Parts: sequence; C-alpha cells; structure tokens
Amino acid sequence: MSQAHIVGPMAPAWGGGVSPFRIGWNKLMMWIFIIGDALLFAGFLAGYGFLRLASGSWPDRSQVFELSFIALMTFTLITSSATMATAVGASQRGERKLVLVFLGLTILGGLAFLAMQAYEWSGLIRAGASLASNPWGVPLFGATFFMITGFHGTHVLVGVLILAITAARFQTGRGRPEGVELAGLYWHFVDLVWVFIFTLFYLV
Amino acid sequence: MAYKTYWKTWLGLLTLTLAMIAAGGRTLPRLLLLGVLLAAMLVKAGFIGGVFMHLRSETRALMLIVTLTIIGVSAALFFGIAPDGMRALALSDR
Amino acid sequence: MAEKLETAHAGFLRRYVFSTDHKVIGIQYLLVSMGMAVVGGLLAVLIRLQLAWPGEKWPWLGKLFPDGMAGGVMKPEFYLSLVTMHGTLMIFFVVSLALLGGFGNFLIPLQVGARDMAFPFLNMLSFWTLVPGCLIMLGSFLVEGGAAAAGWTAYPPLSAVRSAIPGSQWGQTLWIVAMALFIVSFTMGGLNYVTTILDLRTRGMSLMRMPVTLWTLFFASALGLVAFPPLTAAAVMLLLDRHFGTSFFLPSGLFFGNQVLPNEGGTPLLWQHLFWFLGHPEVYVLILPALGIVLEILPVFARKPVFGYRLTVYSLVAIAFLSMIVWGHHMYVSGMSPYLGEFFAIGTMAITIPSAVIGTNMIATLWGGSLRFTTPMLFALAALVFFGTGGFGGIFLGNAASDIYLHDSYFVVGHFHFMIGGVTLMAAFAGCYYWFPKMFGRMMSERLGKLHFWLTFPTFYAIFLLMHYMGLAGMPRRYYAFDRFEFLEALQAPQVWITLIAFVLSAAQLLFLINFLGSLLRGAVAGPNPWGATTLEWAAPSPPPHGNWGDQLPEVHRWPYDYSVPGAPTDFTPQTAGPAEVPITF
Repeated sequence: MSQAHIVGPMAPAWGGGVSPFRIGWNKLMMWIFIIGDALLFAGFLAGYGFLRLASGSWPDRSQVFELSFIALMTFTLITSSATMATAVGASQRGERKLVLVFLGLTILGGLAFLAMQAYEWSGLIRAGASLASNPWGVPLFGATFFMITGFHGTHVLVGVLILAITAARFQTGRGRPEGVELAGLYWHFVDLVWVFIFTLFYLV
Repeated sequence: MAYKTYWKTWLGLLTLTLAMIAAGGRTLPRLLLLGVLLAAMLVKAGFIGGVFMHLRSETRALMLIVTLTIIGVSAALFFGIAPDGMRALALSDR
Repeated sequence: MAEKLETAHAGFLRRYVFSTDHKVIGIQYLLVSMGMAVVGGLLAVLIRLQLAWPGEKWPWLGKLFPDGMAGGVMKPEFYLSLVTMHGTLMIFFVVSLALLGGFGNFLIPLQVGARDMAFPFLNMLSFWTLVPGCLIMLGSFLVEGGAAAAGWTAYPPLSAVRSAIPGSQWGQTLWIVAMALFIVSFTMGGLNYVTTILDLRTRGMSLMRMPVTLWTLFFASALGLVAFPPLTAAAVMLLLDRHFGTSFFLPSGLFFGNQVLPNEGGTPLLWQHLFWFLGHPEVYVLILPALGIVLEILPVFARKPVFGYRLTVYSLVAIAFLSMIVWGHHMYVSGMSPYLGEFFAIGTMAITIPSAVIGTNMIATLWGGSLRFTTPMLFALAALVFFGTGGFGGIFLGNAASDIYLHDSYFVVGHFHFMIGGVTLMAAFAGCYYWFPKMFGRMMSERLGKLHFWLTFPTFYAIFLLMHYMGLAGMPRRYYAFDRFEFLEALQAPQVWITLIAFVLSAAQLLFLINFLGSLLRGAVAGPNPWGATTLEWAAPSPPPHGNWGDQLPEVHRWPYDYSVPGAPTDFTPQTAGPAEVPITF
C-alpha cells in the first residue's frame, strides 16, 4: 500500500482552516441561523395551514384588508432589499459614502414598513380584532394574523437595529464589508419571510 | 455583482408581486389560482435568495443544503400534519 | 495572541465564570448537569416512594412540600408535577447538557485541532443563557400551584387551561419560558459546533478522518438546529392559548369547571404534531453523542479500530434524516389519520436498520480485541447492552398495531429509560471517567469507579426491564397509584422491589460524586495520554492550556483508529504521527 493511499473525498486536499463551502465561519453561521429562523416561521405557517384546513370557513381577505396597502408594504420591503444589496455591493467595492447612503435608505424602508404594519394593526384593532376574537367570524384568523405578522415585525425591528449599528460602525470607520454582508443576509431573510407571509396569509 | 443586476431583480420582483395581486383579483378556479400564486412565490424567493443573498454565486453544496433543508423540513412538517387538519374538519360538524 | 495575553491577566470572573474558553464552558455545563441530575434523581426517588407505598404519610416531606404533600400524603396533582419535572430536567437539563453542552464543548475544538470554537463569545453567551433557564425551571416549584404538571410533553388542554391543574397556573408558564431559554442556548451552542467542525479543522483533518464522536456531535447539533424551531412556534402558540384567549390547541365544546370554555377552532392534535416533530429528533440528538462516546471508547480499550467507520458515518446520516419523518409513532392512538400512522410506522421500522448497523459495528469492534476492562470501558459496554435490548423494545412500540396496546403503558417507560437513562447515562459516565484526566489533569479512582459501575448497571437494568413486563401486563403510566386496581394487584410487590432497588441506584451515585470531587483534589496526576489513545485531544497536555496547542497547531496524517498496526512500535499510533513513523494505510 503506497503512502498516498488515503481514503475519503477530502483526504489529500485538506489544508485546514478553510470551509468546505468556501465561506468564512461567520457567514456559515449566519446561513445556519437563517435556516433555523426560516423553520421557525415554517412552524408558524404550518400551524396556520393546519388550522385553516381544519376550519370550515375563513374570512375573505379583501373584506378585511386593503390589499393595495399591503402591496405598498411589499413594495417597500422589496425596495429596501434592493438598497441593502446595493449597500453590500458598495462595501465590497470600498465605496464608503455609497454604503452609508444605501444603508440609510434601507433603514428608512424598514421603518416605513414598520409604520405601515402598525397602521394596519391599529385599523384592525379598532375594528374589533384581537388575539381572542374578531368581527369576521373565525377567532383563529385574528390569532394567526397577529402572531405571524407580530413575529415578522419583531424581526424587522431587530433588523433595523442591526442595520443602525452596522451603519454607525461604518461611519466611525470600524465597519468591515463582511459585517455589512452579514447584516444584508439577515435583512434579505426578513424580506424572504414576508414573501411567504404575503402570499400564504394575504392572497391564498 | 453589478448594481444593475440588483435593480433588474427588483423590477422582476415588483412585476411578480403586481401579477400575483392581479391574479388574486380575478375569478380563477381555486386550484389554478393556488398553483399560480405558489409558483410566483417560489420564483420571488428564488430571486431574493439567489441574487440578493448571492446564493447562486456560492458553492453548489451550500445552495443545495440551504434550499433543500428549508424546503424539505418545511414540506415534511406541513404535509405530515395537513392530513390531520383536513381530518379535523371532516370529523367536526362545521 | 492578544486574546491570550488578555486572559493571562484576567481576573477570576473572566477566567472561570464568564470564560470564553471552550474547556471551561464545557466543564461549567458538565457541573450544572450534575447538579440538575441530583435534583432529577431526587424527584425520581419521590416518585418511587409514592408508587411503592401509595397513600403513605411522610411527615418530613409534608413540611418540605406543604401544598403538594399536605399532611405528608402525596396529592395526585403533585405526583404529576414530579413526573413532569423529572422528565423535563433529565432530558434537557441533564442528558443534553452533559453530552452536548459538556462533552461537545470540551471535545470539539480539541478533536478538530483548533484553539477554540469559531465564536467563543457566543459560546459563553450560550452557557449564561442556560443558567437563568435552569433557575426558572427550579424556581417553578416555588410559585403558586407548583411546577408544571402536564408531562414533559405538555399536552393541551391540560397545559393550556390554566385552571385545569395547579401546575398549569404559573408553573407551566415558567416551564415554557425556561424551555425557550434552553432552546436559545442550544441554538447558540449548535451554531458554534457545526461551524467549528466544518471550518476549523486543522491541516490534514479531513471529514473522514474525524473521530466518530465528532460526527455524532455534528449530526446531533444539526438535527437539533432544524428540529427545535417548530417547537418554539408551538410554545408561542401555547403561551397565547394560556394567557391571551387564543384557541390554537383548544377545540370548541371543552367543558371544564362547570362551564363550556369559549374556545373554538383548535385541536390538541396540532400541539402533538408540532411537539413530536421536535420530540422525536430530540431523542436522537441525545443518543447520537452517546453512541459517539461509546465508539470512541471501545477502540481504545479493545486496542482495535472501530469496525465499519464509513458505514457508521452513513448510518448516522440515515438515522438523522429518517428521525425527522417518524414523529407520528408517538401519536398512533391520538386520533391521527391511520394512513398517516402507517407512513410513520414504515419510517420507524426503516430506522432500525442503520441503528442495528451501528450496534453491530460496536460488537464487531470488540471482536478479537485485546480488552481492558477499565471503568470507562465497563460503562461503554453497559451502554451497548442498553442500546441492544432497549432497541428491541422500540420495534414493538414502532409498529402501530402493537403500539395500540403498549402506548402509555410502563412498556414505554421501560423502553425510553433504557435508551435515555441507559444508553445516554452510561455513555455520559463513561465519558466522565475517560476524559476526566484530560479535563483536570488527574485520574479518577478505578476502585470507586468499578464499585459505582457494579451498583449502577445491574440496578438500572433490573428496574427498567421489570417495567417492560409491567407494561405488557397492562400497567398504564402517569398514574399516581395502582393499589386500587384489582388486575394490577400482583404487580404491587414488584413496585416495592423497584423502589428498593432504586434507593440502591440513587445511593450509588454518591460514589460517583465522591470520586469526582475527591479526584479533583487528590487524584493521581495524569499525563497527556494515560489511556494510550490516538485522537487529537490526547496530544495536548492534561489539562490543555488556553489556546490548546501552544505555538503550533497540530497536523493530522491519519485516521483516529490506528490501534495495533502490525509492525508499529506501539499498539497505538496518534493521528499526528507522520507516514515515516508508521505507514498510512487508511
């Protein structure tokens, strides 16, 4: 048996300290975190799906929501995702001012989304909706609505905070492109979740 | 990735969103509407993940593990419990 | 380098309390798990007291628990709190903590040849998130109504209706909060484990050269990371049902306390599905590291390579994957669709195959080996015995048809104690005895260790083997007394025997604690490699310094099982030994 007969697909090439996915540990960790957080929302949405299948009727969304307003919310979040991607790209090109501008735009987008979500919530609460009951005949509708949008909104808020910290660090010169990229991954994830909520809760 | 790519993707996402709302407004057979909306949803997700999150530039292994894990586990969960959701309705007097 | 200097001058708090060193954190987890094990064990003693002598008066216990044991007699609702908290503490705050938190933290950077985890600060946070969780769990005994009493499975409506049982007042809410903290802590730890194993392996440490222990820790962490989130979602829904009037798990027409509850639309079945979606993978999260520890120890004390290394790794993959689609085998009698039941039964039967492969590989590892029956080896062998016999019981429970009879009987209790108590606990002990020299630079007493073993293994086995037969005889679980059932009259005597044996088992654990603490203070000083093992941690000093490896990271040239290589100068060849010393043939 020759010395070089080493079994396993990675055996001869492993130089050590490099990811098999060719990304640093912090990006890998963020991706695994995203997988877990995605599955948290999957848990909420699966529960919602189960309960909708189990209920004989479900409120007509066009009676409850102003769908054009929801479309505006979606537009805002998608746009903030595009500005975030631009900020990440700018950080990799070393264009510092562009980074700060587009981070700022992303934060504004996030805050606008939260404001719109709060406005939507207050309208529904004034109409008599709560976790326990609502005027549209299916108590679980309100429960699932507030729970799912509440968790998503909290994630948006956390994202805005993360972005603010990232921007502040970049402002003082202590920020790095990796930090912007990691914040970007989180922000895109929050937008991704909204795509599913928007479709499965508001449209389907 | 070029800035242009992000904004082209943005345009695509917006178009899809408007199309989804338009589809929701029309009276289509339920199953067809569901199919259209879910397909559009997955395409949007693909854009965000692939372009904005750069998954399409990462190693294939990472892309597969992220997408297959999320889709696979979510599908296992939903399709594992959905039959009992329908059964709950069938057994009730609603 | 800067971090090294910083810690050298750091005070007591930074070095031993809020340390970011994985070895310190691992030991912290281990010590906490030992403390929680004492509590969990005492709860078991109380359970056994009640079952052997139901209705008996225990005055001094009455003073300790004035509500639950008013007048010294145990109330049924207190009994339910006991079984709930015993299960919860043992599963999450003892076994998971010891195997993943303790051994996972300590071993992973050492066995991959890294200086520490990928994100040491997050690692420290994970421990300090857990501690409040432990305190809240323990504190739940002291709130009004006492600790949660809906079983470790927390099924609604018992867990969702606050007035249903005293433990469902504040105890259940605190249970949920503590579990949330546990899940956050687990997630933070799991992120570190998976990332460190993937990204921080040293030069030459390819994935197929990792010790089996690392593979099991990797899969267990990954499994936990994907399986916990749906339970978190369910826990939120349960909190909303309990405190905000929602009906996720509560159907219409629930009649309680002389009135119909206002809920409608939900079903407890949804909780069961979401809970067991985690609950089943969770048991594999517990058992995989245990199997890893066994497969770590057997080669060392048989002076033989692990048999079927690759097949073992593939079997671990199969187990991890299959474990995510068999959760319904806990729900055969729940009213779930029987077609769904058959699907789950098929998956459950399938999972016996890779499990059997691993068990067979363990036996084959021993075959023809030069066996040394040290204390770690004895406990590893005990774990193997529990795995085999306990696994057989699982076949009867995994089949929907037989499970209809056995569900919620003592057969189940016997089975899972063989697996979680037997395999994982024996493996945890084996790991303690085996890695104690590396952790603390001292040897534990072999005499006390063997005494501990011979008082623990036969008693544990006897208790839970008996329970299999009691279950077959029809004895249901979670009842606080059986003396009023005529058909179970003959089993009242075995209840007493079990309790007496349990006293011996509990007392024997003192031997372990005495050994552990005594050896810390006065044990024989241990060299870097007292067992003659090949894995990387034994190439570092005992205990390893901060940064583990001094100036130079180790370089790996071979797999970890070059024991008794023909022609080699010693009967073990460390992973760092180059090709010039002993040829690399695998």
